[in-house]
Amino acid sequence: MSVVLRKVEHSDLEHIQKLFKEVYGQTPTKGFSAAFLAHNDLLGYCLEDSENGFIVGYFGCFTYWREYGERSLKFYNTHSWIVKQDYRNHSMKLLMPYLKLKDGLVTNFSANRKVAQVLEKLKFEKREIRNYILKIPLSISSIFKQMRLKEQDLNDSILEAHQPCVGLCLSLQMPALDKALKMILKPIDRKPIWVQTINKFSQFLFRKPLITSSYLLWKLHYVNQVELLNRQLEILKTYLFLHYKIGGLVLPSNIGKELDARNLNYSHSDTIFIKANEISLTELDYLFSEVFYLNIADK
Amino acid sequence: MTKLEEKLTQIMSLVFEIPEDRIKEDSSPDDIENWDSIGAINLITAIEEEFDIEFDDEDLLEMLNFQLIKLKVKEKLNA
Repeated sequence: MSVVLRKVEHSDLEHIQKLFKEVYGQTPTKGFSAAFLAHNDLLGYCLEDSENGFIVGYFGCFTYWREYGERSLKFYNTHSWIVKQDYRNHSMKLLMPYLKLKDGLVTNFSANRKVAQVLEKLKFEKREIRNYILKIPLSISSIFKQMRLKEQDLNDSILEAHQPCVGLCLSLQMPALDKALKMILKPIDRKPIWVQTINKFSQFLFRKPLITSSYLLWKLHYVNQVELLNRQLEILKTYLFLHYKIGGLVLPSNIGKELDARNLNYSHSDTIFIKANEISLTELDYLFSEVFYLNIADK
Repeated sequence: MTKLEEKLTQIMSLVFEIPEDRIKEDSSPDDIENWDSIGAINLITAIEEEFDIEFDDEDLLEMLNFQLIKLKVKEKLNA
């Protein structure tokens, strides 16, 4: 069976969803479709059966620009390497174009064992990022600061707050800051301990959990100024809790390293594969790239 | 068949679990079922170990069939 390799286009969405359904038995999340249509840069590569034109393989990509100090870096965040069973001998073709990209960093956050094996062989650098959970409860002082912030008309302080696909993009001009604090946060499928405790009690009393979809842990994926964040973390934690029902923050260890260890719990490690191509990575200790988790393993 | 061809045939036969006589000059992922992504990586690793050479990722882009692999190995051995 011969195939043709080409770039993915917006008009391929329906066919890619079909491919997900065929390979995984389920279509991707709504967030995926929204992100797919919202991105105008490289969306990945696909394989078409050259006889009937059907898409039989896909290796997706979301492309982002991120500021790192004075530099603006381009990230090709690859995800979802899926190929129909009968066409698996062509699957490497989907990876090859990424090796040729020389103007950015190619990343992969969702490698299963097989994909990891391939990426390592192709000299993708493997990085383990330890994560910490920022402990709740909220302090009285942060609640007071939060109230003061509200009095100063918080709406004027929020330069940007939207939920583009999955998660939350925030750009805050807080009174104490001279620069805007930009962040990207995304929920992870875990509840903080305080929610688990409440749910345990409610299970015992009412035979059902009290808090189901809200107050999850959210992971910080991007921040433009780590130092600013650390300075404002206490008040920010309160803000996110009150405004967005964020039950706790998960921070990569290098962001949390300046924080008091008593406020942190070790959580888990993320494995990231990264290919720097022609861009030096020596100074990059945290990957400033937006991550798009589909919660489906690559196949 | 040269020694190099013989060795490559043996390696491919072992990696892809197919008889040696199925491996032809133009054999590629199109006609060898187990030549998927993992198969390709296993093949490259086996060749590197056997000949004590190392491929760059750019090389991998060109190793699309038996003949091209043979040329690449020759090139590396002569380098």
